[in-house]
Amino acid sequence: MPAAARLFTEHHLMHSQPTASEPAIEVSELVKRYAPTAKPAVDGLSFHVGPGEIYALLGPNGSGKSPTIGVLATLLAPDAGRILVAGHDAVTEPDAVRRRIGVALQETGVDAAARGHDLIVRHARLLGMTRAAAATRASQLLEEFDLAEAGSRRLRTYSGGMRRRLDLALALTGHPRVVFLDEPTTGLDPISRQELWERVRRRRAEGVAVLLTTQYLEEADALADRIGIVAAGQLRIEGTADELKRTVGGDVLTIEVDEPDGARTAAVLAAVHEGGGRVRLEVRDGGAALPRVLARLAAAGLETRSVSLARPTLDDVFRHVVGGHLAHVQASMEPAA
Amino acid sequence: MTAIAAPRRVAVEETAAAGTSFALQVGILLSRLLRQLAVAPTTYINLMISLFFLFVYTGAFGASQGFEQLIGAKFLTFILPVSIVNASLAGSVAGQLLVSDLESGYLRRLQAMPISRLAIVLAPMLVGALLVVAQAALVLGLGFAMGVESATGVAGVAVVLALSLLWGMAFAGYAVATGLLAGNAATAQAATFVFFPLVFLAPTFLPREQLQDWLQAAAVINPTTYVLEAMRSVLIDGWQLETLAAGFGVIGGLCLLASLWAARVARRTTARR
Repeated sequence: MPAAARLFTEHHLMHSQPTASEPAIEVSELVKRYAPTAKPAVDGLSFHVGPGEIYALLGPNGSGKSPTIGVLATLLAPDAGRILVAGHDAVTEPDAVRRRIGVALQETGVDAAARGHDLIVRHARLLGMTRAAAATRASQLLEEFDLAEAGSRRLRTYSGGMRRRLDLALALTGHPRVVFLDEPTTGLDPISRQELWERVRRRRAEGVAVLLTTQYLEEADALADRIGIVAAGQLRIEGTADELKRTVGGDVLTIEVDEPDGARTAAVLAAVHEGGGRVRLEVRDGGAALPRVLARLAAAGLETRSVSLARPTLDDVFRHVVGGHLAHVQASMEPAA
Repeated sequence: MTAIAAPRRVAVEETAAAGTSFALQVGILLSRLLRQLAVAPTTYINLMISLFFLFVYTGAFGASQGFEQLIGAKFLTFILPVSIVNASLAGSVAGQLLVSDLESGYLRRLQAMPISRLAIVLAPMLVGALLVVAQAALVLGLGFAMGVESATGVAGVAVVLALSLLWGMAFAGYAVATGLLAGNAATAQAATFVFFPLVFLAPTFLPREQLQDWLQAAAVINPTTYVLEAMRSVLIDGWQLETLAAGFGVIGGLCLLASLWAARVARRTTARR
C-alpha cells in the first residue's frame, strides 16, 4: 500500500474491536411503504449478511429489492423494523453507517462534467482523506479498474462499462466494510461483467460484506455466497445456490446400460425405466451418488455405456419460488369479465 | 420462507471513514461547483448581458443633458446599479446546479455519504452569491473605467458589493427553493423570470418621484427599489443612513426569508422518506 494511502488507513480511520461475532448487515422485520395507506413495498423482510460474504437479493421488478437497499444505505426511512449496518442502527445512527458503507445504486449518478480522477479525489476528501492520500487512492482505484488512462478525461466521454467501473471504484474509495451494489452489471458485456465479478470477489477476500441486487440469475449463481429471493416485499427463500437448487428437486442421473430393455437396471437402482437401455434416477446429490450407482451396476454385472448428470438451475428455483406470485400479479391486472 | 444456511463469518477489524468538518465539506463542494461554472458558457453569457445593458442604456440616454438634469446625476452612475442588479440573475445558477445534481443522481450519491445536508445546499447558494459579487465587481470596475465616480469613495464601493452579495444570496435562495420544488431544470429556469418584473417595476430609469403613480405604487412594494436607491445614494449623494438602512433592511430580510425557504425545501427534498 502506498505511503499516503497507508497514512489515511492508519491515522484517519477509527479502529475498534473486531466484529467476528456480528453480522455486517442485520435486517429484522423491515417494512417500507411509499405512502401511509399504500401496500408495503417491503413487508417484514429479515436477513443477515456476514463479513466477507456476498449476498444477492433476487426478485422480479417491484419485489422490494431497491427500497431495501435504499433503507440500508440510509437513503430511505423504514416504517418498521430494525436495521443494523456494520454494527450501527441505520435509523438512529445514519452518519455512523455512512462512514462504513460504499454505495453504487442505479439511481446514484456521477458528475458528467468532472474528470474521473478528480471525482474520486473529491469523494475521498469528503470521506476525510488528506489531499495527498486522496490523490493516491484515486490513482490506485483507477489503476485497479483499468481507468488509469481515462482518469484525466471528463466523464461524459466514458462508455457505459467505464461508468459502471468508476461507480464501483467510488463505492470502494473509503475502504468500506459494507458495500451495496444495485444491479452492478446491468448493460455490461459478458467479459466486463466477469471482470467486475472478480473485483467484487477480491473485496470479499478482504472481509468486505457485499449486498447486491441483480436480475441476472447466473450472476447470483457465480458470485453470491448466499441468495435471498424476494417477492411482494417478502423473503421467500434463502440459502447457497446449491441449497436453493436442491429445494426444487434432486439431480437427475440418466444412465444407459448394455441391456436391451433396461428393466433389470431399473430394478437394481430403483430407477424409472425410460425405454430401451436407459433409466432415469433422481438423487439428492448427483456427484456423491454417482460412484455408488456405478459400483452397484458393476456388482450386478451390468455394463454402463454412458451417464449424464443434470442439475436444477437457479432459473428453476426462481420460477418455482416466484412463479406463483407472478401468476397472481398477472391475474390481478387482468380486467374483470 | 425457507431458511437454509447461516452466514459465513470472518473476523475483520472494523474501520470507518473519519469524515470531515462542515467548513471543509462546503469548501470541497464549492470548489467543484466553481470549476463546473468556469467551463460553462452560461456564466459568461450572463455577464455579457449585464455589460450589454450598461452600454445600451448609456448609449440611449447618456448623451442627453436634459435627462441628466431630470435624474440629478451623471447617467452612467445612475444606471450602473441597474447593471449590478442585472448581474443577480447569475444567482439563479444555484438552483440550476442543484437541480442538475438531482436529475443526474449525484445528489443521491452525496446523500449516502457522511456529509451535512446543509453543506450540500449551502455550497450552490454560496456559488450563486459569489458569482453575483464577481460580476458586480466587474461591472463596477468597468463603470469606473468609463468615468463613474463614487461620492463615498472606496467605502461606498464596498457597500455596493455588500448589497449585491445579499441580493445574490436572496436570488440564489429563491432559485434553490423553486428549483428543488420543480425538480427539473426547465421549470427551475422558468422560475427566474420573476427577475424581470422585479427590475422593471422599480425606479430603474428614473428616480421614484418621476414615475407614474401606478409604477410608483408598484415600486414601493418592490424590494429592488430599495437596493437600487441604496446603491445610488452611496455613489451619487454620499452617506444617507436612512436610505442605506432601508436598502440593507429590505434586502437582508429578503435574503433571510429566501435562505430559510431554501433550507426548508432542501431539508424536505433530502430527507429520508
